Amino acid sequence: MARNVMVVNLERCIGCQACTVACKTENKVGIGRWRTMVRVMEKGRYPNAKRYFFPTLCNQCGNCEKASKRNGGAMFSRRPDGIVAFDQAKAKKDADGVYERAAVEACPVEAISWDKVSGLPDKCDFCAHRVDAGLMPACVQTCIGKARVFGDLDDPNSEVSQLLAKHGVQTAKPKEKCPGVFYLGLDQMFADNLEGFKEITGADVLSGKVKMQQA
Amino acid sequence: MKFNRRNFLKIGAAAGAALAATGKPVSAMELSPGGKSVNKQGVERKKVPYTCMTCNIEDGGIAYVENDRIVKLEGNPKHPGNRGRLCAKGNAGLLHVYDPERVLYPLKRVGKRGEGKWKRISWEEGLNEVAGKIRAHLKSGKPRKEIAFKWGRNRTHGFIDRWMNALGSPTTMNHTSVCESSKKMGMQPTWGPDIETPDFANTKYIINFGSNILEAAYFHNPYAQRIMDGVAGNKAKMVTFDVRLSNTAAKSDEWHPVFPGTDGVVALAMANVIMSEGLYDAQFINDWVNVSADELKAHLAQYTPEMAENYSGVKAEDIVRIAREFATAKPATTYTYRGPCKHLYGSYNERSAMLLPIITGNIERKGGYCLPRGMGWNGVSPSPEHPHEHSKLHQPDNYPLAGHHVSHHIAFQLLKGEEKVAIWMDYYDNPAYTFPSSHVWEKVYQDEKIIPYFVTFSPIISETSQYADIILPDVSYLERNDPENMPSDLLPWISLRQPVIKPLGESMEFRETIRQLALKIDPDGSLNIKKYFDYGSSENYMKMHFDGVAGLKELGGYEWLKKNGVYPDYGDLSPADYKYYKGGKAVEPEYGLHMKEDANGKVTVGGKKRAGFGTPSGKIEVKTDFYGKAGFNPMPVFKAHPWHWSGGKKILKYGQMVLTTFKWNVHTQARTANVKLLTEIVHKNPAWINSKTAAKLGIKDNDLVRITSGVGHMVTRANVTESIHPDVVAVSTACGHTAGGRFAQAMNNAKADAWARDDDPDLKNIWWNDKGVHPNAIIPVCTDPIGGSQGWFDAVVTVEKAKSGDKYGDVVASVEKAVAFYEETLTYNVAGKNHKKMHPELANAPQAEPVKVVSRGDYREFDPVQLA
Amino acid sequence: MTESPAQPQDAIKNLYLFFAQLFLKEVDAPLLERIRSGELRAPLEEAGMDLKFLEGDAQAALDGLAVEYSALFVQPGSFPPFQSVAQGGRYLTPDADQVELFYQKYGFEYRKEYPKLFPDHLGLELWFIASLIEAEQKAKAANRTQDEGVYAAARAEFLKKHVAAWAPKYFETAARMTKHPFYLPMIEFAAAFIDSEIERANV
Repeated sequence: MARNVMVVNLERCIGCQACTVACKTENKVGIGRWRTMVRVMEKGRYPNAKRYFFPTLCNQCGNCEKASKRNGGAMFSRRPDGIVAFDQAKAKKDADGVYERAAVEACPVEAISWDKVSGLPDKCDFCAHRVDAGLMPACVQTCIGKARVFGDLDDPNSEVSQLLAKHGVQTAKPKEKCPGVFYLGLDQMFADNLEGFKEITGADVLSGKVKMQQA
Repeated sequence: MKFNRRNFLKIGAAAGAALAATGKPVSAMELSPGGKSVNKQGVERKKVPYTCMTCNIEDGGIAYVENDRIVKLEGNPKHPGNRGRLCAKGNAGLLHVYDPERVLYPLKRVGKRGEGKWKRISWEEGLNEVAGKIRAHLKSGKPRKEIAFKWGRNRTHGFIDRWMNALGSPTTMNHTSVCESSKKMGMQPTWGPDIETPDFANTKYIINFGSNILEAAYFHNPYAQRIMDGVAGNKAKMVTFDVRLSNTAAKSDEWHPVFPGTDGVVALAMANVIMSEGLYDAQFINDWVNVSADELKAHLAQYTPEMAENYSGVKAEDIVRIAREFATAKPATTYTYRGPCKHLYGSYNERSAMLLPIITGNIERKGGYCLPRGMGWNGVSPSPEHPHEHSKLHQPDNYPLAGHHVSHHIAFQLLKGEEKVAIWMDYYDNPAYTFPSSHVWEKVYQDEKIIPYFVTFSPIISETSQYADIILPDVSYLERNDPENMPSDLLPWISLRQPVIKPLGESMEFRETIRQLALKIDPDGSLNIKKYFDYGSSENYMKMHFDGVAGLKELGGYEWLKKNGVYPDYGDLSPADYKYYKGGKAVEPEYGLHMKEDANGKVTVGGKKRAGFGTPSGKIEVKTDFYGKAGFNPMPVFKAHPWHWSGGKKILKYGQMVLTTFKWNVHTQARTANVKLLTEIVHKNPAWINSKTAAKLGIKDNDLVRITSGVGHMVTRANVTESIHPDVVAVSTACGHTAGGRFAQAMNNAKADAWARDDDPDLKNIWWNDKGVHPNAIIPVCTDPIGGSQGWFDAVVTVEKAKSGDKYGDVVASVEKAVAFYEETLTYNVAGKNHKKMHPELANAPQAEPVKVVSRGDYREFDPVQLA
Repeated sequence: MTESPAQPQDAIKNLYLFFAQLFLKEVDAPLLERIRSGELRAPLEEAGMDLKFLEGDAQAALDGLAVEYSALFVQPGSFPPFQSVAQGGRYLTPDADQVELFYQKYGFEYRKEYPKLFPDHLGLELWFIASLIEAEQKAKAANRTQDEGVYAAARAEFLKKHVAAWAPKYFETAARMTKHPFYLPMIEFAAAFIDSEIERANV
């Protein structure tokens, strides 16, 4: 059985946003929301300033599935290959009339957003339609720095298995079970920064409180 | 108004009669025989290879097309440059095609210039009008040079020259002086080509002087891949000197903020260290450099690390350390692109930076600083000759070494009446946005006495094309043909740009428009124009380019290229190491091109004649007669900018900084602004100000600030940051459009009712209302007297908190003051009063030989790769 | 005035054709004459339009109309009257295919007349409805009752699925964007007409 995961090698991420845009054109993601993006953060004092790039996406943890099910929903479901898939046709409104609010809010990495037109939740599913056709997810396909690697963790020869075997890796939320996305190069200093990232919400990006690009 | 059923019926009855009387359809659409092309749901996905053109790098792509609709763009894995991957701009490319703010019909101006009043005309009418004007001019006996053509991005590979040469006019004007021309004119006399191809993937050490290669062109995507292979894969060290923490600086092992325009002296000091400490490659210098190690030592001795520290702010000990690391880390390479060269005397800076790989023998080595590899195709014959007339707009007086011309002077030359224009053609160009003192261009375009007739081929109404008298709309890059080549990898390639879909609406490919114009100007061939445009179609033209290319021809020529997109086929791309494999073996590039045996070689090494370099001596000419004879220093030297320095002392006053501009990874200079997926990521351009400087000036983050140059002022917001030199204020040029579309101008529904399109979900969801403030108007002209390039990063400005009455977005610029800067910059050219002052070391040098400027092609011998 | 049953149907068809023309093309010299001094003047004035501004030099009047036409429907910054743009923010979304499929299903083809126009142009959608009305009339005249019903149903379906999905909103936006003495009332007029048609189709 395949277990599809993504490994993001932060040393190789140049913050170019090719993934962000490739995802939007592949999955027809409109203005005002993202399935994936590269978040940017600066730290340090001149002239020792540093800038970090941190690609974020659904970690396939399945919290949304559980939260939705508690509400009697069936929109999210984990596939045998580990991808947390979703079916918008099965989206259920919460008591306040918002689709799957509990599921969206259960996401520990703010990776689910509501489609601005339909109001339906939407998130990264590792481009399941491409994976099923034997292709890499669009973000991996286009990744200029070759930071994003995708493959089968159950295959010891796959690049992801090799990377995970060789390097110490971390997940975005060490305390959560994030079985689908692993980061290489999250050293302690960067992990500290991640506390900052944790506070970033989609709304913060939209309001300009947090900079998607440093500017 | 009363619209009731009774009125409907009455008007309807009258309408029927009226339509009938005016010959309009009074009945149904034509009945089709049925059955044809009905199957639009049984969707077949076609793969069509193409060459990207969202910037100038020419990566390879595959368009996925359904029902003649582009549904997705991906990189072409057969293309050695980008190896199957696209950048953000390339991924968003299909939005250029389907942008509802694209011009799909010929438009003719009604009312005043720039008023925005247009009427749609037929192609027949548009072509007749333009052809009629040109024909009348040719027949009038007036100087042909009054027919002018200015381009900004010319990927036609000679087609514009064909057009202008056939018309007999030398007034072809490019854009290269706002781009990298002084880099080219630093490099070409030194070693032949105007560019390098560093072998980043295999290197151990990279010194990057001011290039933002991980974000911007030349060659963003290909080189970012290879730098990551080198840095992450090969554990190479990267050191970046830049005034700003660009993403490239951020990914470097060391970032050294430098004072603007001083990376040249840092490079010279490093070269001094390497020479004086004996860390140089004596054999390489002896064999391949036209000056001896001793001469170099003597020349470089003046550039001490302490002197460099004084100017650059980089600590002498760091300069010494990095010099030693670089010299001993073999293989190693430098990179500069548009950093050091975009200053007054940028050509000297570029030559200074080149010294480092030269004296360490890193030229043409695996992992080193390599010559560009190119591949060509056949010319299309017959081909018209260059006209003999001379136009100062094409090549101004007193810039004898500016082989890539001085395009940013043209507006000023026109204001001064240096040349007359009758017909102005504009192609893929937006000087009223992208050029220094852009407001001067605006003034020129508005003035019908200066430009009596203005034709544009632009598919968008930009800050420039808004002043046109007539628009004959070109297509997007995914609907056109071009042959392509770029030295973006050490494996050379040629690549085809081809239409992946039919041109949208009535837009027409430029090559086809020109063909039709030519045939209308010269229907019977009596004007000697027709024969150059009798190629039938754009596709035929491509066929003539490619069919005879040796190697490709055997595979099937143009038809093969159409299917594959790029030639040669280097084999299968391995996902493990991103190399091409053929028959189980990795395809490796060739190194040491200069060492190849060549019976015609000018240099003998190891008893054999070698290919050498494209210079008069065949060696690398660290000392160049081209400069010497034109009155410049033949050696790489440093000239401190008189705006910034006097007697080695910085002369910036309180609140004064140097203004620098920069590019984002998701934008080009002007063309991407209306691409919503990109503009969503970057749409505003606050001024980057160092936190300490800001504190001194009482400026807080996001405060409204006024930036005042000698030309005018702009009001924008402050981005108070740790990521910039304290003497520098940086404003990106990607934002602040006053034309170009709803997304470019952040016209969302809530804000600008007058721009709304109610149902468009993306327009509704524009979540930003800040489009930025464009800085180019207040940036004065400052021209490198050698390479002719604009010194974009030299302007001295005063930054202060906004004054009362200042509004965000204010840009006030004076034409008179801009002209005064132009006059000042002329004093630095070879005939100007400041030339001698800036070159005291040449006081006893022999008098410069007068350099005769022939119309064009003066430096063609330096131009193996056409770059624009 | 008594109306024979054929007359309102003809008039409705002609109105569709008339609006199709107005949105597809600039007003040309012959049509201008019909509007300002021909059979259209009286009914338009009766409906409340003031057409005096069109008097005088014909070329000036035509240029004025052409400039407004371009500003509203053609040039960048205008409101290109395409279903794809209105609903999807770009040219040629798959909606355009759906529209063309509809035309083809009933055997209609517009490309001979407008070879380079996208199928979901407002004018073409209106012309298509006129075409369906005509087909319905012909079937009726030939006593092909079944065909008559097919065309009537097709018209209702097309109105509902395509025209009603975007045109009313489009008219609203376009009307807000112009004060032009010809195009503003014409857009309002078209809006009222299409509204009434949608309403009738729903009955």
